[in-house]
Amino acid sequence: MLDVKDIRDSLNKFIIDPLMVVDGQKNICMVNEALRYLVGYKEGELVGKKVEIIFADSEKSLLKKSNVEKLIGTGTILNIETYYQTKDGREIPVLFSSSLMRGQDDDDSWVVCTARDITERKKVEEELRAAYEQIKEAQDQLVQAEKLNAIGLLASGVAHEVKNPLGIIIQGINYLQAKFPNSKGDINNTFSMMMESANRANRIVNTLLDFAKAKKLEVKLEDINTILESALELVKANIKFENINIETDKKKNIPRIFVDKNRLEQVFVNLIMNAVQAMSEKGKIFIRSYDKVLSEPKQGISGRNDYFKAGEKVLVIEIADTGEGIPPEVFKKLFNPFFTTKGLHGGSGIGLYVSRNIIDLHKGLIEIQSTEGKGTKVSIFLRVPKERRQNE
Amino acid sequence: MNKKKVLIIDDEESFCKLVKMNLELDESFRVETATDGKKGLELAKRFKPDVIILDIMMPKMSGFEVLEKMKKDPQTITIPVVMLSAKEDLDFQVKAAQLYDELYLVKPIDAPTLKAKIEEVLTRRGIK
Repeated sequence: MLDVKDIRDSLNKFIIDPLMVVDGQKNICMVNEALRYLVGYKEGELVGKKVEIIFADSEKSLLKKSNVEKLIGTGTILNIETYYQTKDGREIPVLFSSSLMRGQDDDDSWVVCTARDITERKKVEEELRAAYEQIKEAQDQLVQAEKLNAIGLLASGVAHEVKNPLGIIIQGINYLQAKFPNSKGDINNTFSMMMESANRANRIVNTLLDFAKAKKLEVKLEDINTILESALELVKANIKFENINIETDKKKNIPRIFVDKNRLEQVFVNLIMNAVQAMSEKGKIFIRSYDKVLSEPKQGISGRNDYFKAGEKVLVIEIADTGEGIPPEVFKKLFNPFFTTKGLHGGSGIGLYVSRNIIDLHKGLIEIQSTEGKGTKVSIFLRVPKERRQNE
Repeated sequence: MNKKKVLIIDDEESFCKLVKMNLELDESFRVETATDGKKGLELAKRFKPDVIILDIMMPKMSGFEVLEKMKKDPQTITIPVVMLSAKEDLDFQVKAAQLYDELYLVKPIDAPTLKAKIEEVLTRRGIK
C-alpha cells in the first residue's frame, strides 16, 4: 500500500510538466524532476533558493507585488506566457500557472507553480509569423508593382497630352519676347517666369516619363569622376550657389567601370539637387569618390537584392550636405515614389525612387545616413568587376 | 529674295499658327499650315515647300503615313521633313532616322531651337 511519501515521490518523478512549490517568503520548497531537467539544475540545487532564480531577467515582473496579490486574492494564475531561465542562462518559453495552497495561518501558505515548455509551439508560431510576413511583403510588392505599372501607363498617356499645350505656350512666349524685344522690368520678368514655369512643367513630365520607362542600360567603360564633374556642371548651370560651398575630393586613377553614363549622371544630379535643397540658406556639400575593398558584407537599405560580400572591391561615391537632416518618420518613406518634402516648388518626389532604380539596374546600392540638424550623407556603391581588378 | 518655304502639318491649330508667326518674324521665311495629313499632302504638292514640319500623332492619318505617301510621290519625294512629336518614342526616332533619314524632334520645342533645326536641314540640302 502506498503512503504519502510514496505518492509524493511518484508525483515528483512522473508528472511530466515542470512543477515547483514556493513558500510565503518566495523560497523554493520543492521541485520535480521535470523542472530540474528543464532548467538544468541537479537535485538539491534549487530547494531553499529564491524563486527569482527560475525566471528569466525580462520576466521577473511576474513576481511583482500586484501579481502576488492577485494570486492571493483569486488563488490561481492560469496560463501566462513567460520565460524560465536555465542554469546556463538560456531562456525557455513556458505556459505558467500557479495555485495558492492556504495553511492554517497567513505564514503557512504555499504556491504550487506548474509550467509547460512551449518552445516548439513558439517555434511554429514564429515560423508562421515569418511566413505571414513574407506573404504580406510579397503581396505589398505586387500591389506596389501594379500601382507603379498603372502610374506608368497613366504618366506616358498624360505626358503626350501635356507636351502639346506646353509647346504652344513656349512658342507663344517666344513670339511675345520677339515682339517686345526691349521690354524691361515687370514685363520682362513675366516672360521669364512664364518660360521658367513652362520648362519646369516639361521637366516634371519628363521625370514622369523616366519613371514610366523601364529603360535598359546602355553601358560603356566610363570614368566615374568625369560623370560626377558633368553632373556638377549641370547642377551649377541651373542653380545659384551664392551661399553654398561645394568641396570635392575625387580620388585619381580609380578603376573605370561599366555604367550607363547618362543614367548615372541623372542620379548624381538628383542627389546633388537634393543636397542643395536640404540647405535652406547656406551650407556645404562634400562630394567624394574613392575605391575600396569591403571588410564586411553590405546590405542596401532598399531591402532588395542589393548586397555586397566582404572582400569585394567597390567604387564609392558620397554626396554629403550640412543641411537639416532627415527626420526618422520621413526616412522610411524616402524611396517611396511621389513622396516629397519640398512642397509645390520642389521636386516631383520621384528623384530618389528613380535614382535607386538606376543604381539597382547597375547592381549597386544606395546607403543614406542622416542626423537631424547636422546633415545627410548619401553613398553609392558600385561593384568593380574582377577582370578590371586584374587589369589594374 | 527667294523666301524659304516651310509647311507645317500638325493637328494643333494654335501650334501651327504660333510656329508660323515665329518663323515669319524672320522675313526670309514663308510658312503655310495644314491641320491634317490629307490637307498637308495636297498643300505639299501645291506649295512645294523647302522643308516640312510634320507632327506624328495626328487623327485620321499619322505623320508616318503622310511621310510614306510623300516618299512614294515623285512630287514630294525629295522634300526634307522634320518629324515633330510630343512622344519621345525610341521606335519613332529609329524609324524616322533609319528609314527616311529625317530629323526627329520632341515637343515642346522653343522657337529659336526649331528655327535653328530647320536652317540646319535647309543648309544640308543646299538651300540658303
